[in-house]
Parts: sequence; C-alpha cells; structure tokens
Amino acid sequence: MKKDSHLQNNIGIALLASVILLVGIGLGFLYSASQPASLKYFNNQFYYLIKQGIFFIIGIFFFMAGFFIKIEFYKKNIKFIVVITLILLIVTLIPGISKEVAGGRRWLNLVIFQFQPSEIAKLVVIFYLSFVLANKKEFIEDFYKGILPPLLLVGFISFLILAENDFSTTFLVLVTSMTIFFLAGIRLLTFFMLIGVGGIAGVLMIFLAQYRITRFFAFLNPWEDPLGSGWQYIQSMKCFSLGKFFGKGIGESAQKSFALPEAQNDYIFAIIGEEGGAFFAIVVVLLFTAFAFIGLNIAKRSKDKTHFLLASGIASLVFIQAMVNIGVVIGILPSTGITLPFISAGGTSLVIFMFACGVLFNIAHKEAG
Amino acid sequence: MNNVNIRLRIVLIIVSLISLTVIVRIIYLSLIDSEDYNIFEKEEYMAKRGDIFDRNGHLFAISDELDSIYALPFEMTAKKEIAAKLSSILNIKEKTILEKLQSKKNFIWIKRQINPNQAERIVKEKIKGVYLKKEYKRFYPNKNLASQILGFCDIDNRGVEGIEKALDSYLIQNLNRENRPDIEQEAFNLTLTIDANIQGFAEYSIRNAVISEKAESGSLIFVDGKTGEILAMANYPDFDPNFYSNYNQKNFRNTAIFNQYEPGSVFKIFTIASLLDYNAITKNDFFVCDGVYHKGNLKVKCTGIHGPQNIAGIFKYSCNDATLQAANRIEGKVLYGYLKTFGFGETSSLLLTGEQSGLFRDISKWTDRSMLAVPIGQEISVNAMQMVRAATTFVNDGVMIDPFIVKNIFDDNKKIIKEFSRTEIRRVLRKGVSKDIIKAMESATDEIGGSARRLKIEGINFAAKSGTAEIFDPKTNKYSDKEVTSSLITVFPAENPRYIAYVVFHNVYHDEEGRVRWGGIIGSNLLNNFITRLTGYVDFGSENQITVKQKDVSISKQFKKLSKLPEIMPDLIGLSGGDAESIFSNLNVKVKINGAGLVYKQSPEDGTTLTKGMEIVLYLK
Repeated sequence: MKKDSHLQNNIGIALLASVILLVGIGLGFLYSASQPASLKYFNNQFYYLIKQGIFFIIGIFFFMAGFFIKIEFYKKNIKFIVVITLILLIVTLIPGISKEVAGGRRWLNLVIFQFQPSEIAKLVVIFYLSFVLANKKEFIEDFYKGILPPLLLVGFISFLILAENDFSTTFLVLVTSMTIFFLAGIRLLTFFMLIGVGGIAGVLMIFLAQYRITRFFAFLNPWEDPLGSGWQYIQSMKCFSLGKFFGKGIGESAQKSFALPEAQNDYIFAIIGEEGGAFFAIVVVLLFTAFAFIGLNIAKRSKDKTHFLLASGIASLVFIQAMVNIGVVIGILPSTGITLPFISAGGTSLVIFMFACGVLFNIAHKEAG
Repeated sequence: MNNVNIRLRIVLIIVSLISLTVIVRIIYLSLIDSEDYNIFEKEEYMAKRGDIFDRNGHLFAISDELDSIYALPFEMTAKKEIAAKLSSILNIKEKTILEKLQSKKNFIWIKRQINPNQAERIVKEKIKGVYLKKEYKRFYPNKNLASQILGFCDIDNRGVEGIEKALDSYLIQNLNRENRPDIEQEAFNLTLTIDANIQGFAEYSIRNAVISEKAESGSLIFVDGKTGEILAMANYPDFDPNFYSNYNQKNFRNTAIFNQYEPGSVFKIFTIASLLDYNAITKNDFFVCDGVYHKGNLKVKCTGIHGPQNIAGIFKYSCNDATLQAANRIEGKVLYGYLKTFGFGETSSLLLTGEQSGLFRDISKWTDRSMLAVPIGQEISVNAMQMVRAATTFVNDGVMIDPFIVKNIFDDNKKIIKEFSRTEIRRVLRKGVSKDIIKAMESATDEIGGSARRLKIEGINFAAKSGTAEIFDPKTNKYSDKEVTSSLITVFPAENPRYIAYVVFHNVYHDEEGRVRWGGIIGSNLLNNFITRLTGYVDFGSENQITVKQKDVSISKQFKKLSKLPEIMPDLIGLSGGDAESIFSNLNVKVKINGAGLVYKQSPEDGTTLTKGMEIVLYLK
C-alpha cells in the first residue's frame, strides 16, 4: 500500500508538472502572440501577459478551492449548482445584461468583470453526470430509468449554449458527456444510437444556418476562397511551414501581426508552430496527451465511481477541447472558435480549468491518502 | 469493474490515436514550402519592374514606390466611422467603402497606390484594421512617347500590352523564394533599339499628318535595314500609359503590326523582284500599257495609258497593266512561293504583342482573278512591319533581315544578360537583283511624272514606291469609293541603301472635291517632314551603325525660362534636371532636386495652384 500511495503522489506531481509546463509555455507564447494586439489597443506590449498573469494567480486560488473542497460538497448541492448554471445561461441570452461579441451572445457582464457562463456549464455537466450516473448502478443499462433523465438535462444545457450561438462549446459538452456515458457503462447499442442521433442533429444544425455551411466546409478546401472563409486556415497552416522544425524563435512570428491578428485567442497554437516550430507544437500536443493519460490514470485508481467519472470527465474535457482547437489550427477540423486550455488568452477559461485541475488533484490525493 | 477497464483502455487508445494524427499532421505541415501559401503572390504584386531605356539610355519606363491601403474588416468595430474617415481622406464615396468593409472578405484593398499625402494622413489617423503596404507603380515619364511599343502594366505591376507583356518575365522581379533558386530573379532592365528622339520626330509627324488628312489612323516605321534595328515605330492615335484606363482598347493596339490591309501598289516591288529573280523578265523588258489589262474575260484598269514601260517605268507611274503583263509570264504558284519567302502571311519574331499575320490565301484557294490582284497588292493583306521586313531584302543584296526592337537585357550592375543583334532570316533573291530594284525605285521620285516626286530632300537620293489601295468593304462586298489606304515606302540613300522608312495611312477619305489622297502625295509630305528633321540628328552619310550627331534633342517639350511665377504648376516630366530647375530660377519658389537625369515625378502635380514660397520637389532618374 505504501508503494501505491507513493505512486499516487507521483501522479499528482506529474499532473501539476504538466499543467505548470502548459501554463508556462502558454504565457511565453501568449506574450509574443498578443504583442501586436496589446500595442494596438492598449499601447502596452505586456497588456495581455499581465492580464493572463493576474488570472493565473486568481487561478491558483481556484486550484486550491478545487483541491480543498470535498467532492461530497458538490454532491450535496448539485441541484442548486445546476439551477444556478441554468439561470446564468438563460440570463446570458437576455440583451442588456449580456454582451454580444462577433455575432454570438456568450458573455455575461457583471460590471466588475465579464465571464462566459458556458465555460462553467462545461464543468457543471461533468459534475452532474458523474454524480447521477454513479448512483444508477443497477439502472445504468436501462435507457428510460438510467439514461434519459440526465440526457434530457444535458440536452437542455446544450440547447441553451447553442442559443448563444456557441456551436463549438455545445459540441464539446456533448462529446465530453458521451465519454462519461461510455465510461459509466451504458449499453453499447444505446451509446452508438446516441452518437447517431447527435450526429444527425449536428448535420441538421449545420445545414439550417447558411453561414455555418460555408464556414464548416471551408476547411476542406480553403483555397476556394482564400481571402474569405479560407483565410484563417491558410494563414494558420502557413505558420507551421514558416516555423519548420525548430521555429523562428520566440517573438519572431510575422503572421501574428498581419495574417493572424488577435492570435492570442483561438490561433495561439499557430504562433507556437511558427515561433517554436513543429518541435514546440508537438511538445504541447504531448503535454495535453500526458494530461489526458494522467487524468484517466487518476480515474482508474479511484475506488469511488463518482470520482472515477469526474476525473475521466475532466481529463476528457481538457484533451478534447485542446485537440479541437489544434485540429482547427492545423486545418483538419472546421473553424469553431474554441480556445486552447491553459494557453489561450482568456480569464474565465484559465480559472475554470485550474479549478478543474484542483479537483483532479483532490481526487488523486484522496485516493492516495 | 473489468468492463470499465476495457472501456477506459479504449478511451486511452482513442486519445493516443488522436494525438498521433495531430503530431503527424504538424510534421507534415512543417515540411510544406511556405511559398505554397502565398495567397496573392505577395512577391508578385510587391515586385519591382526593371527599367526600359531607349538605345541612348533615355528612360522610357521606371518603377516607383507607392503606398496601397488595405483593410482587415474582422478587426474593425465601428465600420461606419472608419468608412467616413477614409472617405474624407481618399475622396471615395463613403458608401462604396462601407460596402467593401461589410463584405465577408478578410482582406480588402481600399485603394491601391495612393499619393504620399494621403498615406501620411492614414498613418496619422491610426485607424483600427486599416493598413498600408508598399507597392511599386509603373511610371512612363515620356507619356505618349512609344506608348504602343511599351504597352503598360496593370495594378499588380504585370505587363498587359506591348514590351511590358512580351518581356514580363524578364522585367518583373521574382523575389528570393525559399529553396527555389531556379526561379529567383532580379528585375532586369531593357534597352530598346528605338531612338527616343527619332521616335519623337516620327510620332510628331504621323500625328500631324493623320489629323490633317483626317485619316482613321497611321503608322510610320523607320529601321536600319542593314542591322534590322527598329529606330522608330510610331502610330497615331496613341495613348498615355500612365493613364491607360482613360483610353479605349483601340488606342493600345500597335497599328504597325496590328492593322491588316491590302498594301496596293507598294507591293509591286516584291512582285517585280520575284520576276527578276526568276528570270521571267529583265530590267530592260518593255511592256506596252494600253490602260486596261485583259486576261480571258477579266480585266484590270490602269491609272492611265502609259505606253511601253520597263520596270523603272512601272515603278515611276505605278503601272498596273505592265506589272500584270510581266507577272503573268509566270504561274501563280511561282509568285506565291516568292511572296512566301518574302515572309507574307507569317508573323515576325518581334517581342511585341498583338501582331497579326495578315491574310495570304493559300495557293490552292487562288482563283483566276488572283494573278490579276496579288501582283498589284490586292487579295492579300499585310501588316506594316511585314512590308518593312520584306524590304530589308533590297538593303542586304537579297537577304532578308529580322527586324528587332530589343537591343539587350541587363541587370542592375549593367551586366548584359541577353543581347540581340542582326539576324538573317533567309536569302530571298539572288545577288544583284536588289540593286536593279533600288535603281528602278529611284525613278518613282523623278521630278517629271514620278508618283513619289514630292519626296525630295536636298542631298539625299530616295528609292521609293507609293501605293493607294482601295478598301474592300465586307458589308457591301465592294471596294469603297470614299476612302483608301495610302502608303509610301522609301529606301535610302539610294546609292548605298541602308534605311527604310514606311508610312501608311488607314482609311483616308477623299478630299472635299472627291479627289483621292494618293500615297505618293501624302506619304511624301510626311516623309519629307520626318526625314528633314532627321538630317539634323542622324548622320546619313555614315557607313557604320547609325550615328547620331547630337544627343538629347528635346523630344516633345520646349520650356523657356519663366519671367514670373505661373498660376498653376506646369508639367515638367521628361525634362532634364537642369532645364527644369532653370525654369524656376529667380522665382519665389524653392526647387528641390532628388536624383539625377530626367524628371520622372514632380510634387506638386501639374495643374496644382502655385503659391509663393512653395517647395517644388523634382525626382530625377
């Protein structure tokens, strides 16, 4: 047992190490990628770096919170948490309270700070499903008793996020949920049926909105409209060929100021590719993969099914979100507007993910202790 | 828990596969040549173009660096305000700009090649999402001079017409492309065989003549027949390549190689030369002209009743009857063969655009009428340059020379990359025939009765042949009775032929009294004018290469020193720096000169109101 506990501690340290490396690399490239935008809007090249640094410090407190708050606490209050989340999501849809950015209504303006409730919703869904599905031991293979109720709630939350015009977060919530359902042990037939239904719904969603069609299919042939819908694919892929294997060196990106402005958001991975080369890009991919492996390992070692689902849910969310973001940048997925966890500029996202890491660390530690 | 472990393992495998796919893709992307991503071929529209010079180093075309303004609409928030701001600076309608900004494009040119003042204001305004980019603009300091030879470039600096197009690949810079040294290339410069001064004289002459004769258009070609160098190739109407968009497409065409027409009687020199070479006739054979040529039941009217004439008489009176009698001693296919060797019906190797080959019907399609038409320059159409090229045969004792217009291509270190020189196409006539033709052509300028008798300049003997061709109207299927094509060719000095001058007027209307404007008359008037001006410039007695007596005769502009400040800024482009500066000496303005050579750019632009104390900046090259 002692050996095992030692191993668990090691896993916690590995988890921390991967997160610290990601945030560290992230801050370095964030500083470089955000320089043009920082200078342009705030006349201070460190603007985004400082902002992200502040959120990182706030994030440390959230990490601590995630680590110290007992999982039972969430379990007791999950109904309350879900209701609050639903209220936040609905409020976000009301003009006046929320802020519209680039055709989507995703931001809640709370005077002092703004945040995206959908970022919270992603995590809440994981918590909720973990608790509910862990409790359904004997019903897990029964569709109506075991799966339908949580499915309806996930569906409703997804619908609200979709109403914010946030197709990509919806996708993320659904894929993460499916992973949890799968690991919770639902029947394979049910699982594949759900995937089928989700797929059909997704296709319908895409074809119902004309602007989504062009946007969706642009990645297949960006050269059809290189100055329009294909622009960002071409420019972000070009970063990797400019960076070659070892990159141009940090701060040397040419793409960030002309071709991919505001690269600190969704396209920071392209700047990593240009300045750090394929080498750094692969390091980042491997770190996310390591994160997923560590998270799933923590899950595997946990004796409690709630913990098992919660840990694997968090690990999946981080990995899937990272790969979707990277997949867009390297031109194999349609453009989504999703950030790269721990790395892209964005306060809510960083704080939430650090909180999630705290929860993971908590689980790892608990199983060890 | 066993089932769960399997599922967990499946998830891990999927994670690994995704990760592997992404890594492979990243490596693949990093191996692609970044040039493959160049959306608007940045190097191309940014590219510099080489300069074009005349044979004496006079500047015909240069590249100038200007700013272009573009927008990235996705960076903008207040598009309306931005459109209003840009509209006030650029003098473009606000609505037009707003429409552009609201389009779905990520990259939009607002205006290409704006002037430096506007660029400065844009920089000062610091508008979000609006940027400037340096571009090169083609500039033609001599305006209309040699415009149809040079052609022009589009906004992306690619040649569209003329030499700019024909030699685009040499003129345009091909910037260092990573790993592709094979196509890397600097912008090469060109030297033309054209002499800017002679070209200027030629354009002046042809312009005045076309306007006063009310012809539709006209061309004047002047070549050194010994070497094939084209010294002038002037057309009217022409255009100013700096403002090509103000002109009709028609103005861009190099009439001298584009227009196809029936050459008429000038063509007789090639018919007679063929007959002499074939020994069908001798220079002393006489043919009796009775005013009409009969063959079977076909007939051709002559311009008069000329009586017995040998080849000198044929040229002198341009006698159709005698020409056709002589020509019909041989079969059509023999004449056809000769004319083919003279190069009719084929395009030249000139590095220009828009050349038309003319229509020379294949022998299998000749009718009974053909041998009554082709020998006197009908039923065949030519371009003006073909006539000159064929005539080089008479200057080189039977060998036809390929006329050329580009002398050399050189890099910025004056290293010659490619040189063009005299090229013999083939022997057309045996030795000695040319001499007889020249001798016979001299009689056309005989004072008494010669059809080109007005071509007369003290000290120069001309061999000449004129032509006045009726114009076939395909609409009425008849020859027009209102207009003609009038032309005149001359080879001189007759005792030692070297230069060929050929002028052609297209669609010359009969004068008010219904008289035909004969080629011998209007052509002579023009050539007298042109060659007289040349005698002050070119040493026609020189045996060798064309020798210029004095360099840099002012081409088109003569500026006198001004006594008081003019109200508006004059156009100084094309003047030498010294001349331009002296115009303003002692006047209340500051003149700043940048560079050396000729003025290619001025600030303020012409037409701007001048005020005292103003600074005038002249850019020279």
